[in-house]
Amino acid sequence: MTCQQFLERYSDYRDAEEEDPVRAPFLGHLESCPRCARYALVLERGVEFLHSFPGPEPQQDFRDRLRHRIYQTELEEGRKRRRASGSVLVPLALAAAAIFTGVAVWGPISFLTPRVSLPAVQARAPDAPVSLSAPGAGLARSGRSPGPLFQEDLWSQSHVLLYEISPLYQRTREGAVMRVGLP
Amino acid sequence: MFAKKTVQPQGSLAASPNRSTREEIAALTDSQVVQRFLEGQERAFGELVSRYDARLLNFVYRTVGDRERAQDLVQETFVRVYRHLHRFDQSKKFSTWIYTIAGNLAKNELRNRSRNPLVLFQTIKKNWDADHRPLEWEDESTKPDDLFRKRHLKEKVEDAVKELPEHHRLVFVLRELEGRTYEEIAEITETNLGTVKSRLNRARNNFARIIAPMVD
Repeated sequence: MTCQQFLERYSDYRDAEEEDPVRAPFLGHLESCPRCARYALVLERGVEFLHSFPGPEPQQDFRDRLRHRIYQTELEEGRKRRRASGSVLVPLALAAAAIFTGVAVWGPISFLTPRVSLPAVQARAPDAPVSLSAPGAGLARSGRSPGPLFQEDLWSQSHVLLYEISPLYQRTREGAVMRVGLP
Repeated sequence: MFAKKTVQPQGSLAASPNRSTREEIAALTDSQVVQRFLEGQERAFGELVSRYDARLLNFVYRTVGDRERAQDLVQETFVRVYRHLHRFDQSKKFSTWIYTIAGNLAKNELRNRSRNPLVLFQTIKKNWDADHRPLEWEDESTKPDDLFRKRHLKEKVEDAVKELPEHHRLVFVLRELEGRTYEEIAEITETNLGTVKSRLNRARNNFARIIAPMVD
């Protein structure tokens, strides 16, 4: 065994049981190498010194402080649990209130509103369209033929239409009806 | 005239519980004590505190190097044990579990101290050097005189542990001072066996190199 091997595998030697055959090559090397022997001695003595120095003792009030700390932790955990359950309950309560309000408002309306079935509405065929054909001034200017939409005699008396929609209609109604020929 | 009223403090850490109960609990194994606590016997927790307070304090102190902070971290360890004991897998060793909690708190403490970028850089450099420096016996260039050595031996040996890089220090303390097995150390430090052996060997080499000038 070389010194480098001794250093690299030293823990195998140190942590093996007394009678473990793993230790044999190390023991052989220690007998012939003062440097490695000193290394092993330094480590053993150093750890012995560490064990011989008393470690820190818990303070006198260690248990009292620990008891207090556990109590405070439990108290805080209880508060957190209550806050968490509260934070879930509030939106649930609001949602329940909204549902209840909706039911209270719309429920009676939907329940009390009578449902009546009405007969189907049938559309009547339209009356024959009144064809109005008149060679109006605008149409004449545009060069388009007036078509059957405008009757010549109606537009020849276009001031009659004006009477029909004006406040003067009531006064001249009889005259207008006679002139246009409506029943 | 008036009967002397003795007030027994309540709770799991009562100073003087029923003697026979206390003796009975003291004779139980860790697993049995844990079981008693989970069954509702709060005094069992006091027994766990008695068994582990000094040992954990020594372990955490050697790891973080600060007595006051070590007291605080050990208290925090027991608080966490109290709160989470119902989740402990009773097929495992209780001592490994409690040391894992304490070890993680100590590591967090050391990590928090390294938040300063300069300190972090120095820590990283120190760890790298310790992992890659060639293994050596001792530094023979410095050897203080006998008087200095005798006066400062304790201080120097304790300082030698503090000077170890954090990941070496943890395995060194667990093995050399707490007597944990490699498997337990691997579980506590959440690494594998190979890493534990490698770190332990380097830690021993660094420790020997530092204290060699102080040892006759």
